[in-house]
Amino acid sequence: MSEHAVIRRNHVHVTGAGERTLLLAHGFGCDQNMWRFVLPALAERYRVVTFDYVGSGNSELAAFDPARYGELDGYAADVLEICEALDLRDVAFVGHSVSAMIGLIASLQAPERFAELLMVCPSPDFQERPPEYHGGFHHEDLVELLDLMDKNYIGWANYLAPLVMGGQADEALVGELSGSFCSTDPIVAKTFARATFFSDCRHLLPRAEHPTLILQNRMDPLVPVAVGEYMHAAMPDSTLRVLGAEGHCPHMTHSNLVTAAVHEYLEGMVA
Amino acid sequence: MAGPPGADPTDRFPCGCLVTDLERRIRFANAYFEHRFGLERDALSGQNLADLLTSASSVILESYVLPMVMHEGECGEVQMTMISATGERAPVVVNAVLRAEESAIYWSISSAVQRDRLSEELIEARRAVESRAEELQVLSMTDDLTGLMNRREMERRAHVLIKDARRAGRPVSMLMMDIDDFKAINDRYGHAHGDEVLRQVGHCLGEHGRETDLIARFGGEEFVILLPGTSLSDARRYAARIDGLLRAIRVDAVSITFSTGVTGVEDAETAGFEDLFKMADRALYRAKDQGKNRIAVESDAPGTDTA
Repeated sequence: MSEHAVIRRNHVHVTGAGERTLLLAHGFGCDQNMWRFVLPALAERYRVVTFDYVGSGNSELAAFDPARYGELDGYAADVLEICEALDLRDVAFVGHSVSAMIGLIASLQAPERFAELLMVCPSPDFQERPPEYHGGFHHEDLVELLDLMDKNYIGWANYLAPLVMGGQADEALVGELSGSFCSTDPIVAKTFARATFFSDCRHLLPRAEHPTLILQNRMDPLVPVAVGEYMHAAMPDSTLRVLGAEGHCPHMTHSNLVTAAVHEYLEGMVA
Repeated sequence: MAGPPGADPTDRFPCGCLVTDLERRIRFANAYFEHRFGLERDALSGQNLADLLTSASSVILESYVLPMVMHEGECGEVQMTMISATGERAPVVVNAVLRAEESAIYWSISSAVQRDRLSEELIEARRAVESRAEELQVLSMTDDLTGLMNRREMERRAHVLIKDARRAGRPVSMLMMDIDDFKAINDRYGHAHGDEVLRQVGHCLGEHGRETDLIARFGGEEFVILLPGTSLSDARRYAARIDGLLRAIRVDAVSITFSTGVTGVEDAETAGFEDLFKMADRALYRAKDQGKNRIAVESDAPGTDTA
C-alpha cells in the first residue's frame, strides 16, 4: 500500500516534536481519541503518532476484512504498515490493553522498528487457564460478552448487506456507521472482541526483544494484578509499575500518572 | 410536594440512581437497589460499580461506557447484567453522565427484562434471516442439476482469480467442454436420461477438479473450467485427462463423447475473463467443426495448433 493509502486507511495523525517518536495504539472498544488526555503532555516532549485500527474510529471501514482482523496478527500488520508508511524506526510503542500484545507481535516481526514497548493495562490472555494462569475471565463470560454486544448493537443492515449483496457490501451504507468514538458496527466490534478476548499470547512473552514497561492499575476489573506479575516474570527486560489508579483506562482517568510514568521510563532508557 | 420529612425523593424513583467517582466507587445509591436487587445502601457505599455486574458487563463498562463518559461526557442506553444480592442476574439499561467539576459520574440503572426479551427475539429473527439469506445465496450460485456453480457465479469469481493471477504474473487457462450430440441423447432416451448424463458429468468434473479451479455448468450441455496458475500446455494435458475420465461415463450402457476447446494466456495482463471465454469458444467451435469428439486449442501466441 502507498504511504498515503495507509495514512488515510488508519486515520494516522502525527503531532508534537522531539527526538523520540511515540506510537500510541488504542485498545478494544474505542479509537485514538482515548489518548487525548495524555496527548498534550506527551506532544511537548515527543513526536507522537496516533491512529485507528481498521474498523475503529475514523478508519476506512471498507478496508475491514473479517479474516485479517479475526486474529491479532491482522492488527499487528496495521501497526507495521503504519511504521513503513511513516518510515518509523526505534519507536517507543505505547499500547493500551490488547494493543500491548499487538505491539509485541509487531515488534517480533520487525524488531528494527521498535526501541521499547510501553504496555498500559496489558493482558497476554484474558482467560482463566487453571492452574497456572488466571486471566480473570471464564469462557462463558466471554460468550456472554459477545451476546451483550449483540444486544447493544443490533445491526441489521451490516449483517445482511454482505449476504444480500453477494459479499460486496454497500460502502456508503457501511461507512455511515463508523466515525463514532466507540465502534458501533456489530461485525467489527465482535471481530475485535473475539481477537482480543480469545487470543492467548503468553508464549510470546519470553521472546520479547525490547525493554518493556508494564503499567498496571492497582485494581483493574479486566486484568487481575497477578497478570502483571506473570508478565514481568516471563518477559526478559521488563519493568512492572503499579499505578495508584483503578479501572482499565488510566490514560483517560489518571492521565498525569500515565504521562509521568512514560517520561520517567523513557528518560531512564537514555541514562 | 415533598414526601415524609427526612425522606430522600430519589428513593421513590422507579430506577436505580447512583453517583460514583471516576474510579466507579459508589458515593450514593438510592433505595431502588435494595428494593429491586436486595443490595443494601450502606453496603453499596464505597463499593465498585464493576463488582455489581457480571464479568462480561464489566468489559462493556471499561471498554465502552467509561471511555464514552470520559470522552463525550455521557453514555446512553447500554445494556448490561447486574447481579442481585442472591446471585440472580438481571438485565439492566444504563445511562451515565459525567459531572467533571465534582469528579463524579451520575448513573441511572433501569430494569430491562422486557427489552432483553425483545433483543433476544430480534437476534433470533436476525439469525433466521441470515441463514435463509445464506441458503438463497448458495441456491443462486449453484446449478441445480449438477451441484456445480452456475455461469453467474463463475463470472463473479473468475474476475477475482484472474486479477490475482495478473498480480502474480501467473498464467490462466480455460477449458470449454460440450457433450456431443446431446440433443440426440435426449430425443432417443428421454430427458430423464439426459439429466442423468449431465449429473454424472458434473459429478466427475467436481470429483477430479483441483480446489483452485472453477468448474461450472454454463447451461445446456456446456461446461467451463477456469484454471488459474495453469499454463496452456498443462491445461491441454488436463483436458486430455478429463476427456478420458468422461469417456468412461455410461448411462444405461450409452457412452458419450465430448468436444473441448482449450485456451490460455501466459500472462493474465493480456486477457480478461471475456477474452478467455471468446477464445475457448472459438476453439470449441473448431473442435465441433472438425468432426467433434476432439480437443482443439487456441492461444493468443503465434502458431496456434489445432490438435
